[in-house]
Amino acid sequence: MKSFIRSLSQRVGRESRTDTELATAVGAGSHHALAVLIDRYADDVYRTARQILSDSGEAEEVVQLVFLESYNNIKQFDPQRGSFRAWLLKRASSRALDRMRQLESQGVYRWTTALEETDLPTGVNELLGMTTQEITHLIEQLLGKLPARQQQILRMRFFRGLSLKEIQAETQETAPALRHLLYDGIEAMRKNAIGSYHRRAGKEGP
Amino acid sequence: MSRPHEYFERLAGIERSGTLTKPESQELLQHLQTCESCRLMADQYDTVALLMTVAGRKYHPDRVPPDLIRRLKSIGSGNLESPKRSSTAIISVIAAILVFVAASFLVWRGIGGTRREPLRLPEQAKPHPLEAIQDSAAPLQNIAAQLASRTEELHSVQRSLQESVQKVQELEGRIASLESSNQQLQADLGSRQGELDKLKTELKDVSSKEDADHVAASISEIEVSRLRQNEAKLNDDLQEAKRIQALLTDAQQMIVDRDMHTFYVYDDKPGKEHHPFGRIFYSKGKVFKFYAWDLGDVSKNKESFYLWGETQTSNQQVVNLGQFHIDSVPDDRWLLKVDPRLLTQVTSVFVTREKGVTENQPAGERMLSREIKPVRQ
Repeated sequence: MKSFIRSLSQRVGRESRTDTELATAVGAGSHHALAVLIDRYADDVYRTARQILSDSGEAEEVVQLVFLESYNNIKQFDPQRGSFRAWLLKRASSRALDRMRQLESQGVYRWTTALEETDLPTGVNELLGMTTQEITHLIEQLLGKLPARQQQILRMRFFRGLSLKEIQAETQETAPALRHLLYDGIEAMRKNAIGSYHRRAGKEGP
Repeated sequence: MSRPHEYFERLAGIERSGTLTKPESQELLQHLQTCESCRLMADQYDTVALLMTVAGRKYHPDRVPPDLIRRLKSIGSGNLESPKRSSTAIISVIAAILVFVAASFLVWRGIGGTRREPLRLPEQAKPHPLEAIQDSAAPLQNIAAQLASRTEELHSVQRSLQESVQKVQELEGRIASLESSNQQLQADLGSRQGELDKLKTELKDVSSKEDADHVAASISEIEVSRLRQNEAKLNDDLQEAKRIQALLTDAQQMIVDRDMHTFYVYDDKPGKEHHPFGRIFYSKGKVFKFYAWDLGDVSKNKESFYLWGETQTSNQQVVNLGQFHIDSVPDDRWLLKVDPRLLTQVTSVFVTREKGVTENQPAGERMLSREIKPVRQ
């Protein structure tokens, strides 16, 4: 019965397979599975690239590049080392940063490849395996612990995707002050995220 | 000059903000290629940024343009599975398979049913057409079995749906029943409310009546109290009347008695008009009463009035005959009853005004005096 319902839901567009199952299907040559993954994560990949590059056109290029590379290198995805979302978004972030540096210096740096292949259990990467709802709840909790100005700057940068110049225009902050606020905010978020991961791991552990 | 790790960690933290200068970016990249701990830190910053980017989707949904999605879905097309078929096409294919399976099955059954013995063919010979049909029917049987299984599943789903529909209908019936009951209860409630209002009105009327009765009872109590006061006053008056009556009776008795003697007492101060100040009633052998009037307000001066008797013997003696007491306040009348036996010993009496109590000898002013004859018993 379950298989029948699953097949029916596939026919009507409600895919119930997990990311890992879909990735395996893509590895086996399923174009449909790739389409489902694109439906699930294209927006996140696009947002990530746009947030780094602050340019829609450049972000679209990165999205195409990321999904093409992911399709070609899908067998590199190891579910034992992390979630598919983490793997995909890391790749998106790396490609966007690559593109940003390329635009800045007209040189191509591939250092992020090492990071992708490492996938170290950093205590934060694992959080990307949560559902979008869980991530949203966690980030709101972590942001709530920050001073109001840091919260404001981080929301403008990562939620609204504003560039540094746009944030400066809204907040009237100087560039050094903005840089300082951004660093302090993201550093506090990193520490709190690690703490949250350890608490979750302790709670969910045996 | 080598920089500390903290410097590169800070650069890694703000790289995602897009605020690194070109030299800083190059410096960071070179360092990360050789420093694993800083790479780890950079990865953590990157992940935090990704988490915030995912979370921000809720507040600012930044959607991929639809044409980009279409382009993305064309990745790998041509050597991957075919595009999704429509439901109509699927049904057509299933129908065609069903027809083909049914036809094949009938053909196989029809031919097989008439076959008495299996055909024996040379090993090298070409397979008999019927055998070929049997061979081709085997996979069709599998398909038929799958279809039967799917059909059974469909029937199961259909039964579940029917049960659900029945349950929904039952629930709707219960809801309708409850609504009807609710309406009935509302109607009853309205009726009870009316009755309650009526009872409240009646209770209010009764309360008003009770208030009136209460007022009347209060008035009656006041009247009774007043009447009782009057009664007490009348009783007092009656007692006084009885007392006066007794006195009158006594006086009448004395008057009737021929042995009664009356004589007046005068103030013996010289130069003053003599008028009877006291009156003595004496009834032989019975009582000797000395009345006095207008002796003054003794309550202010705390004075007492005593009656004394004098003997006419060689050694004149004074005998205390007693103390006056108020007999009638309204009449300012004083009274002293004297034992008649004492009067046999005296020849005259007089009154003194004393301060306080005295017993044997008069100390105050002599006010009244009168000679009397010895009483003969």
